[in-house]
Amino acid sequence: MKFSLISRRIHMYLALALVPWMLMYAIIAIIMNHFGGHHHGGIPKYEKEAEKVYTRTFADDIEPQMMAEQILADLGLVGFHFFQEHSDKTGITIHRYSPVRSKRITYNSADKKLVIERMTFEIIPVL
Amino acid sequence: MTFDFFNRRIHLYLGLFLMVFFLKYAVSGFLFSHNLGLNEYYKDKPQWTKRFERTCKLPVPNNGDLRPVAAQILKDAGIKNSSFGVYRDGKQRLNINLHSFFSATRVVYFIDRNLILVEDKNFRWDHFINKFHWVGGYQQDSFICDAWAFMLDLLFISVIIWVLSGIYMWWKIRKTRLWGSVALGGGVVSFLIFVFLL
Repeated sequence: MKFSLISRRIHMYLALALVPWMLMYAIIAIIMNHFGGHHHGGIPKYEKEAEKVYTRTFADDIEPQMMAEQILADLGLVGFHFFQEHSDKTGITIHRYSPVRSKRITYNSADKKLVIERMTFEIIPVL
Repeated sequence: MTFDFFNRRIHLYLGLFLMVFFLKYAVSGFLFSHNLGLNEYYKDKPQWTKRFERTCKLPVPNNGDLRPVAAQILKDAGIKNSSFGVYRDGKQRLNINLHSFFSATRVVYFIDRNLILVEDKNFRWDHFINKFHWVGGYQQDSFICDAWAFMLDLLFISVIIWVLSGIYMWWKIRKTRLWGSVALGGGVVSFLIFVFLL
């Protein structure tokens, strides 16, 4: 089999397998290019899903990353996430990303509570 | 000129014309996907260098569009930049961020102190890649920014054209239909699995 044929077949089969990804990125990018950013209501909205007492104790010097991962593991929500430690060190806010069911988890160490919120489905924040 | 020939040429020339833009997303996307540890490298380095501060007295609306005020502040401060974003950070602070691929400037207007502070961001490779990947949109009042956004639109529409013209070309090669269907079907199924299980 000639190199040019192998090259053409790899090109074709790879492209066919990646069609959904290419379309997803193309469509999202067009929408973002025209309606992205905060000017167009791109700030996600959340609705409260649950509030739980969370009694696990953490060491004072624990890395926020470890704390976030532990909380997500305890909730059965391990996966892509981003976190913000509260500036007054009273807790942590974790954003658990998912294409269709993103959540925001806020842990307050003073009252040992977890607030779990679900991102409401609006097309631009979801993108 | 037959449709098949036209289709092949569109597929080819759009690809060649937009290759650089496509590579931009491929390289920056790959670098995002792999943590390069640059945050750790830049952690202890100063992020901002003060350029100057000066007095300023402009009313800032509590609600409504902040861009006219921001544009006036930049004009009064003698800062020229075609692209900026503005947001209110608390009651007494207005943040204006100016971006280009290679630099960033932050103008902070302390409303109660009638003071603006102008700082330049020290260059960071990770921020450069980030901007390189994300900059787009028609929100700026600038021809060059709109032209850039138009090129991005052209790229994204071209991706859809590549998909459609590519599928058409594949279907015309009868002997590749079976394995092509496996590749296409496998791609769709794996994509859906990720969307719903991620």
